[in-house]
Amino acid sequence: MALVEIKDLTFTYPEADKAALLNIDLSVSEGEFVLIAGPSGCGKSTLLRMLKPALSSFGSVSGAVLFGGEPVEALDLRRQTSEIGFVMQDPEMQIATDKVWHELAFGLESLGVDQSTMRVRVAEMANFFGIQKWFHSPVSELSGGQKQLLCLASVMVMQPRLLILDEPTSQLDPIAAADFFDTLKRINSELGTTVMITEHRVEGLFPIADKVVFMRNGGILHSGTPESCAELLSRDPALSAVLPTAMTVYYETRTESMKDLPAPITVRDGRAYLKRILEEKTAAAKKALPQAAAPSPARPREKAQKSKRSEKPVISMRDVWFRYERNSDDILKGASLEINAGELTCIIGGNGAGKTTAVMTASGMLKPYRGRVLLDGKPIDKYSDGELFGRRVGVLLQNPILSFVHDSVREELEAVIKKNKLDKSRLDEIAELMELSGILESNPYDISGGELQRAAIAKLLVLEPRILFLDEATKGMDAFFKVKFGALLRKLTAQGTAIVLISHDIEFCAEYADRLAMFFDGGIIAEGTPKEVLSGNNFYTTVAARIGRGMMDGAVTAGELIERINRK
Amino acid sequence: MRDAFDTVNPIVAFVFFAFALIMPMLVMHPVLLGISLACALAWLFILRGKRAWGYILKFALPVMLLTAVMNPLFNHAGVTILFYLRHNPITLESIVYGVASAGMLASVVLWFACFNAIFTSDKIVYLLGRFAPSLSLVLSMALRFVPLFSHQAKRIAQAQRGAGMGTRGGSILARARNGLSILSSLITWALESSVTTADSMRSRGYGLHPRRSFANYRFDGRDALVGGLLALGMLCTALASYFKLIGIRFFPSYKANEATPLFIAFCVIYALTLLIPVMMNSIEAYRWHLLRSRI
Repeated sequence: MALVEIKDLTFTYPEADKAALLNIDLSVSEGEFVLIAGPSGCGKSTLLRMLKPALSSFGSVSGAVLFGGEPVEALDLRRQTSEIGFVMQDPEMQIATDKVWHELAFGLESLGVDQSTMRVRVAEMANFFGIQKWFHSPVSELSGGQKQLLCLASVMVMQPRLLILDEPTSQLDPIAAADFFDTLKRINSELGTTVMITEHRVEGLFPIADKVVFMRNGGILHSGTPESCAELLSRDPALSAVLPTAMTVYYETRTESMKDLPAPITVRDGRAYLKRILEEKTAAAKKALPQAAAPSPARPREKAQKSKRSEKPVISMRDVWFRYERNSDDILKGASLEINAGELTCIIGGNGAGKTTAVMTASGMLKPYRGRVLLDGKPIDKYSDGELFGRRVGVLLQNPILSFVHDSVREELEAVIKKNKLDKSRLDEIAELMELSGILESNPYDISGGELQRAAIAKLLVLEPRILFLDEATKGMDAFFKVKFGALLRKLTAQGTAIVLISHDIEFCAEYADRLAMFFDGGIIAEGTPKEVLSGNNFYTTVAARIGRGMMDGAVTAGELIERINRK
Repeated sequence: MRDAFDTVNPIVAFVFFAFALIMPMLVMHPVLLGISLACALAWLFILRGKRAWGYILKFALPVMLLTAVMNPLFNHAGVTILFYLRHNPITLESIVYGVASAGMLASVVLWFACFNAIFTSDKIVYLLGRFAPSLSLVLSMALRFVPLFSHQAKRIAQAQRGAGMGTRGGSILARARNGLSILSSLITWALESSVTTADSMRSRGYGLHPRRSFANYRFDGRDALVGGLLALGMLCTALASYFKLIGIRFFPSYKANEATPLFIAFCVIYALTLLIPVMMNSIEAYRWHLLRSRI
């Protein structure tokens, strides 16, 4: 019998003209791992929340949601709490208490479990998640990844039969996200817990999932194995952006003889596929006339890069050392960075490598204790705050919501215009450039993450700064919006703006960056075009580069791989 | 810091502090005050090392001086007039009372410094959890959100600055206005994000009855021993008080108990009770010394 049975479910938010969920039919059996994918706003979260009445939104519902054969609304809060676990997006705000142990015990405290059972269950979960070491720590000392693991553990202590996760890794860096997925896989395979998860980052989940449900516009487009879902998505260019790299390469390059092969999902399968297709193509080429090897396509672009670099950099940061307090550890240890006009410079690297601090120093927000930062050849601390921020340098911190202090996007932009006594028409120009017309009157809290990012950048662009610093701007964006965002950055650099983007999204950087700087331990250890930096790396590089390693060195994006395979 | 008393069950520790803090306030006998002050000092130096001087010089001494000087200036009760200051009598009794109050306040301050070092938020949450689980949760949440909010306020100010909307070096009015807009944005953020917190709490069964707190501490044999000794000390104090052994009178004339053998015996018991943490530390240090010399 299915654990979850959704029958002809339709849901409409109050005062909405369109249904948020439309005729959903879905059945999930005990122990299954179900990935629910789809673009932002397709109704994924609404659907998940319908499975736990304590979190369901108000609105008109028709159809039925059954949990273990019973209507889910009939479950009392106690049973819902212990049997259906729910993990949300933002790890910071999900945590209610100040200490790790207290957060872990929270659910059991609510259930009123007796002391000795509570001890055992908490201890078990602390062991399972490897939390013993930070069991007594204050929550504020944990990293984002640890916080989200804690949220997961604090749900798992109640031993739920169904675990629901709503975009749990959207705020995490790729390594923490991979860790999180590993833990989910263990929960599913070792404890047998049924898992339902929505996620933008499907690359890591496709290999684990038993079933993929793809949603669009409130309905289910497809539900089935990851392979069958991929097959369907690959036919629609608007949707294929969501697929894992290996699958994208497979669907774009497979020949007739390969059609029956299962689609590769992981890097390992992708490499096996690449090997086969290359062998097949060489065999075919041998039959035809021998051809001269095509010149590497990489060269011309690199040349163009070099000629650009001979210009004077807008900002040059040389041998900069920084620490927050006299007795604390150095965060930047002789970091040097040059930022050129009209270039998108991407900064990658692990957590705590000093990326954010480097950007804060290069932009003049922080003052280094050694080394210097020059803006147009003049030390950056010689500029006053008024001369520097806004007109020359714009800095967008990690969480774009922080940039908003007014009630609507329009008011926010108007405040900047008024303060700098600009003409009112500037607002319309910016709104058009950043495609804000639909959200000008909205409250910043009511718009989506991608729109928020756009509005926050718009606020910076009002004064036409020459350098934009964006910290983790791609965080939480879905695959479809990333394409739009990349185009937007290109538009800005084409106008001569220098952009520095910190990102954990190596795929994005490989696709759009003009220059890539890799940070480690307070300094830059590799710098150059994405191709130069990423094709040399073995682990810290794109999936495409890992698939092509040894067979197609130098291809760092899925597009490049496909192009080179098809050219053969 | 690793103090031997730190691992004692919080309930026992709390009773100890209650006793140590309340006794000087109830009985302002100079000898007992002196004992209390000395015991608090001894422990504070074990707990804080050299930094204990900071507590003494910054808090205890100023409080002592202020009370000792102010009392005779404003309190003119007492029969032994020493001299007149601007037509106001300065009496011996009020000077003695001032000194005694100074000793009382100083020992309260020092005991409180020890309390601060031992009573981490975890222990307070545990103690409250025994009696009022929901109150203990509220405290724990407050402890999380206060630092979170102040951090967030800083980040909002930074974001404003990075967008060229900062007011560093601007006029006071501009800065005040900026501060207000940061505050309003902080409040909005807090309200919006508390929806997530509420959802997460509700999804983990918040609101079910009865709520039970997770006990992070156990009650073991040593806690029973320490608790027993403490109870004994407190019983002796109650008896001493019942038989008027430790009474004291300041006004109109000063009168304290004489140093009878019984009084001296009580003083020893009082000192030993207050020295429990110090003795525990010494015993532990000696055990480690033994262990090490055996290796």
